[in-house]
Amino acid sequence: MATKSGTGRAALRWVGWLYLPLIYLFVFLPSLIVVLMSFNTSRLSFFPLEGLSLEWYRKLFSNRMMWEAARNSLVLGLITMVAATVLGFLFAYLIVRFRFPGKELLTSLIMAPMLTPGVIIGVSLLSYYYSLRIPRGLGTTLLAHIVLALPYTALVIASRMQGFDVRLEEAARNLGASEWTVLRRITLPLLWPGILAAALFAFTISIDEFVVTFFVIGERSVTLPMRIYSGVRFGITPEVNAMASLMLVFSTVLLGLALARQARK
Amino acid sequence: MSNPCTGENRVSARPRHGGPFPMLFLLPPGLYILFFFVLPICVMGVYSFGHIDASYRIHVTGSLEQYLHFWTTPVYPRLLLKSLRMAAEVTLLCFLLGYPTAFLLAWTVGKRWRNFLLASLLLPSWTNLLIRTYAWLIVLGENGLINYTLMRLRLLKEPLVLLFNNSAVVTALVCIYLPWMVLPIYTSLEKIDRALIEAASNLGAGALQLFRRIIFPLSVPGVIAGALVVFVPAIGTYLTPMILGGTRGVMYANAINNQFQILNWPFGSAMAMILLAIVLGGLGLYFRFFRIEDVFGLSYRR
Amino acid sequence: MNGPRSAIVSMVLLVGLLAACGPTPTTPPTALPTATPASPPAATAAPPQPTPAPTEAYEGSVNVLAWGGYIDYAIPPFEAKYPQCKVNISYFSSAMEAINKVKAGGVGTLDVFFSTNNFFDRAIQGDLVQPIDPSRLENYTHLFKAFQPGVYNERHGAVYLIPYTWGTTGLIYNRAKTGELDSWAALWDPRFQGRVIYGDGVPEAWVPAALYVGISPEERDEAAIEKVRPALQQMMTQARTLWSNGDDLVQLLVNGEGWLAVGWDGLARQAAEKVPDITYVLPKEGAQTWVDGLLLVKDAPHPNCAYRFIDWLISDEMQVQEAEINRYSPANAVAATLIDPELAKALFVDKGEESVANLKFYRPFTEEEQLRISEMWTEVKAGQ
Repeated sequence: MATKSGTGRAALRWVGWLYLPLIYLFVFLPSLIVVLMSFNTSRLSFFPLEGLSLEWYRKLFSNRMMWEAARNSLVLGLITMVAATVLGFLFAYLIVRFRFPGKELLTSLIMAPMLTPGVIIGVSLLSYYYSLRIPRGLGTTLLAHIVLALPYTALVIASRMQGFDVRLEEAARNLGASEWTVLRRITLPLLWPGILAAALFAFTISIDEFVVTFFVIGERSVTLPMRIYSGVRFGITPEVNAMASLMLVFSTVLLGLALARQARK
Repeated sequence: MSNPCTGENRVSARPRHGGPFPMLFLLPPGLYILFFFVLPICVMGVYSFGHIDASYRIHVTGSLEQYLHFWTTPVYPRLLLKSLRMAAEVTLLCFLLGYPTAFLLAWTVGKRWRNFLLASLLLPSWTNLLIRTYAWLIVLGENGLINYTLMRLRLLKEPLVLLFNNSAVVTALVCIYLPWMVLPIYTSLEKIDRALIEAASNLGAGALQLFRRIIFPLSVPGVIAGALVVFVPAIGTYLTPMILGGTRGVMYANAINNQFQILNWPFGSAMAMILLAIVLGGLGLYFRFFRIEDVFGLSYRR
Repeated sequence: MNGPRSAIVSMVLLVGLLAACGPTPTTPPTALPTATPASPPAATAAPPQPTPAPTEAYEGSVNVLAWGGYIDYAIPPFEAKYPQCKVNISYFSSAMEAINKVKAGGVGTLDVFFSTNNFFDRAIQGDLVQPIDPSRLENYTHLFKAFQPGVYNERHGAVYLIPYTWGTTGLIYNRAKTGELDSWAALWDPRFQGRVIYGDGVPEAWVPAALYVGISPEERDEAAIEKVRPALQQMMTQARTLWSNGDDLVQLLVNGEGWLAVGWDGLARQAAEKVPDITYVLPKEGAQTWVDGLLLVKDAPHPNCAYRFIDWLISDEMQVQEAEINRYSPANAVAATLIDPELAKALFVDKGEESVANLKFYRPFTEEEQLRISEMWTEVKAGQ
């Protein structure tokens, strides 16, 4: 990419080597501390480490409530992922391919949850469920997560769809393929990376969602962030650090897999 | 993505008109947002025009008493301002730190590493927010990472007071929101047609001019998107300030939450509506001048 | 496409792996609207007057709302002893929070929650709780006589609160940093600016400040509130931070973030285990005493399990453990004799019945007092 002068690019690269690691260190610092602390022998967390042990991981595995919460979070995350991606795809397809009155309004509406502070969404949903006498629980939480994830999935897929050569579709259509076949054979496969990215986004949003969940989950169910909130607000034990570290490993592995597959193509 | 020969890089050369098909697509997402976003906000709005009685039942009377109470008690508008100011601070810092990051990622990092580095920016988001915030207690504490290291290295005699103040809160928030600023900026930087740069460069433009005249202006949509995605959640943040802010940690969202905790839903709803009005007002004003599609890179009106 | 599909497959596999690694739950995971307990509630729904259950049919689980980290040690042995009573626990960090949570949806779903003698009137007035039949609790007679039916736990001739621990809210300080202290005024001493950790709950915030400005903490009218407000405003610059959950306070004290604080005696002892210089004193102006105990929620869905659970917590065995782990003074007189004499002395339970015969309490906060003070406190905090 000969886009800038040679020395310019070299200088830039030096800056990159200096600046980027610092930024990444900054962004990862809290997470690294969490992992570090999960091996701490002392129940209270402070620096320096009292000692190293796997005790909290062992305790974590027998912590039934933590695993129930983790399970709930995973299930919620997966369902959110599917639902938000499907809805996002529908919206993206509509917006990018069609022209109709009220398009801008619809776009604004779909994007709105992304531009609304979580506390407002949480509080409004709480009022809503209360007024309709809908009992709060995992179902209401799921509905909230989908609302939160929808703008992001829509955006990612729509973005992807734009840079997509429509002539391929037209060619297929001209060759006699039906609308559905075009969708199935041409559009979707080409959109896959975008759809995958959107799905991962939705999952990410759901799995660590706290603020809105806090309002809509009610007293009887827990997601992992809520359980960790309890564990942290009411007595932090390194078990929650162990759980958080495990989640970090889990997401890193997922990410690695997704990227490795993509690189292969 | 773009065809250098024909220069065509937009899809909707021929957007199709309405018809039954769009309705099928329109229904699910539109309805969903209607029922689970718009309607709830309306309900909340309705509740704000009322009060609660001694047994905590909500009476909707259409009165503006909650709003009056808000504006006549100096604490609440001040809190609102405080939250807005802090959100602005965080957004600015995220921009200052994030733009170079996105830029360097787009222009100096090899393609193979880019995806990985970008995606890994999101990794910390998978660690629970609360725990990450508590981790800052360990970093910034009296005997925390920074103080301990500096004192051990004999660079400090007395530990620095880094915790339970505004800086601690801002630092933690910037750390949390930075990736969300970087990603949109990177996206818009990456979309810039290299051919443009080459052409300008060949015409004798220096690096600085390239940046000022071409690169930066084209990246503005990404900057705006990033700023929005950081500013708006930042106004509503309350856990991090509560934990790291010491006695100065109360934010607008805390106050809203408080009202709901003491079961005073009408006032809490009124506070939420006021915040919503401000956010919508700001956005509305902005979108007078810039179209929403441009901001999110969804230009389909060509 | 193979790529993304196998990514999805891997994700699902990982989910499966994660699910398999955890211990098998006894209730199915819920993905859709709220789960109902594994078995239907017992035939005896909560009557206005408690009646002994004809047979102890256990309902399968019991829903508990407790102080954070307070009784977790007692749960595994309980579940081992009563396998048909699985404990579902959720937490709170202030007495008012507990009342609000029960008010907001606890009746009919929650069984047992903790409250103090200062707050349980609120729960009774709010029609949130039902009387407890002490004859169904084997260990009830082991409690200190003063904690059996009496002003701490009885209303309209029925027992509502079963005491679990008792203690005081006093001054905690690190004597190596502050020297010996004996007055609430120490919290406002300019020498300790930025080193104080103040309490965030209404009783913890109100009592020291009231005593500091020289009024009785039982005065809670508008005039009193305005007298106390400046002291609290001053505390905002004086304090390093506020604590609302016990573990946070212990951590802050042990880390050296704060040198002195207002806090519960048990917390001081927990901190002293790590940093022996940390001392506890009842200031000369006075301090709040409290009795913390269990309430049975109205229409509790699992009353039999609830009774077993309450009985378990006040048993000799558990009360000894409580003293050793949490370091709060136990309510069980027999347990007091079973713990280490040194510990008994530190927990003020070494004198038998005499230990609790003369406890003095401040008048509990009424609903309006709580609201007014809470509003003032919120304004003070928000005004920073």
